[in-house]
Amino acid sequence: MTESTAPLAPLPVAAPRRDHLLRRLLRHRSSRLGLILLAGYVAVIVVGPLLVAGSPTSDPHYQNLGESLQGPSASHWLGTDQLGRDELVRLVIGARYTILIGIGAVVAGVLIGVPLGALSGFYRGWVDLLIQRFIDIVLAFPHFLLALALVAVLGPGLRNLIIAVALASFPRFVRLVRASVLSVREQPFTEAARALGVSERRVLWRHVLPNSLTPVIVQAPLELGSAILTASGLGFLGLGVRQPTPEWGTMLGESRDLIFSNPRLLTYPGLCILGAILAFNLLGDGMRDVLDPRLRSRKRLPRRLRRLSGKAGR
Amino acid sequence: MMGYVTRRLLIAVPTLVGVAVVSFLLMRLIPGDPARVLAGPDATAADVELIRRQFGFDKPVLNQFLDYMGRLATGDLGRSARTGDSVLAEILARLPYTVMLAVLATLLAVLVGCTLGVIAAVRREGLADLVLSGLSVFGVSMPVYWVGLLLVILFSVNLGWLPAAGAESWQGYILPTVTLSFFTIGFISRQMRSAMVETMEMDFIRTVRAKGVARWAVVLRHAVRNAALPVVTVIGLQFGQLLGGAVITETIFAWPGIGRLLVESIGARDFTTVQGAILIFAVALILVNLLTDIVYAYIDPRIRYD
Repeated sequence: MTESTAPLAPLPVAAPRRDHLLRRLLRHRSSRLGLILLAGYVAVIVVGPLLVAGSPTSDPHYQNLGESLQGPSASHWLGTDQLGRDELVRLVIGARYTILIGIGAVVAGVLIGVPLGALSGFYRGWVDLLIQRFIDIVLAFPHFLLALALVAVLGPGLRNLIIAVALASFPRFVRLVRASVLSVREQPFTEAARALGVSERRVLWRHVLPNSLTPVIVQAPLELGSAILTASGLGFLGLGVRQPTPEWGTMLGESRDLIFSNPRLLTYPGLCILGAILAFNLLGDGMRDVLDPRLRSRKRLPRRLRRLSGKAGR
Repeated sequence: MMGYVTRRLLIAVPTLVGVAVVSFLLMRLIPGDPARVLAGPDATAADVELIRRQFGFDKPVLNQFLDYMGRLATGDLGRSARTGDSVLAEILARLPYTVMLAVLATLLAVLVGCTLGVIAAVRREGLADLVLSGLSVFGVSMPVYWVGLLLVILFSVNLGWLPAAGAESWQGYILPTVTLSFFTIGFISRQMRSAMVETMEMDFIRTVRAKGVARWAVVLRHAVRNAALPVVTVIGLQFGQLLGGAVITETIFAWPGIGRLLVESIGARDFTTVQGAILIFAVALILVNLLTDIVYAYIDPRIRYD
């Protein structure tokens, strides 16, 4: 921190930010809230199943029609559903399904979208034209409806759900990476790599792409929220995971007819979904403020460095 | 202006064709034998054979594709496997309900979203901004179906003020419209806020202020009109989301629109109707984006000349 020790020579503009990322996210109001919420969800996913284990009713599939639609009690903290299954157990076990579907879909979307975007932006020409027209067409379909149609055709189930959500969302990653690659490929270090005789392919995958991923990282939490929204919406329509699996959207959809008699069965899973999406959206908002490459390139050096660079300039 | 409109129209044509191709390919994605799947689990071998011939699955894929595109060109979307009616006729009968719902929700969202965004920007960093920004994050995070169900629980079940389903009376429009606009309100108010914050820092605003114009007039006459520009694009951008929400909203409120037709057809494995409905939704999205591009160019002449 002391200015006297700071050497004025090369400014650490690309200083190691990554290890400070978490701290910076925790300083930001919205991402702090998002991270706290997310920590709660992670805790439920990891520890939850152990806490609810121990009795026969702690199996999310355990049915007891004699105890169906009970209100909250000491043995069933959040009551039971229409098949006498413990609601809390199902919510806790459901966390892993809903959240893992979201993560799976985003990972798959990144795996499809990032290479396509990289090829498109790096080689330009007819490769770019071809990929971009293809993306235009996929984007012409409303996101949710494309996922809906894919699940309708492929059939429900965990794997198909992830495929459908990923296929409906990967074009956004293509666009992001392409735009980023287009600017990174013009950077001097790319030229330097070429001058050293590095092959085109290696320039792309080893030099350009790793430096083009910031927008993807910034966008990832928002995409996670969106994937969970889509997947649980499909579950709500009865097109999500297969029957007894306690996915939150599916639970909501199954309880729809009980809206007049047992609205609480609609309240709990909805709150869980809202919390998860909210967490990712808040984290995404903070992430954008902290990491946005536009802010970074635009004179947003910390005040200490700004003063130093001013001195160094003179 | 005419040149710009023509250019945009021409760009939309290949996308339309591509969308038709994808809708054809969707049907080919059905795992296994499509005729077998379409016939349903109880069908006999003869039924399956009949369906195979009826849908042309016995012909080469290229022929099927050309047949499909040829029929589309004449406006024929095929016949519903469930009712035997023309898919196009069924869609057209339900179209007004979906259009009405989408238009009302968009209007409400623009009105409320812009107002909230402007208030948040004017009271920047203040309590109103904090509350409104928080609310708008909620708006974009609330799943459509949950908003709808909560509104039904509150206004239909508990208070009994509004009908929970149907489009028979004007009261029936209120809950679906509010449900569908929820996400868009959050989305637009966020965009409007940041656009307003940016505009309020511009030099011309300082000039207007220096002239002694009243603060409300600075905001309403000068800042809002400039900040509203990007919001026009946002309406087009979120329209796809709105259409997806419409499908869920229509399902919740038993709304007689295309969205419910789509969901019912999926349940009945009536894939011709599914294909037709998806195609119509995609065409609607393309048209709305075209329209917002044109409106944008009309309001902001700089766009036309690049």
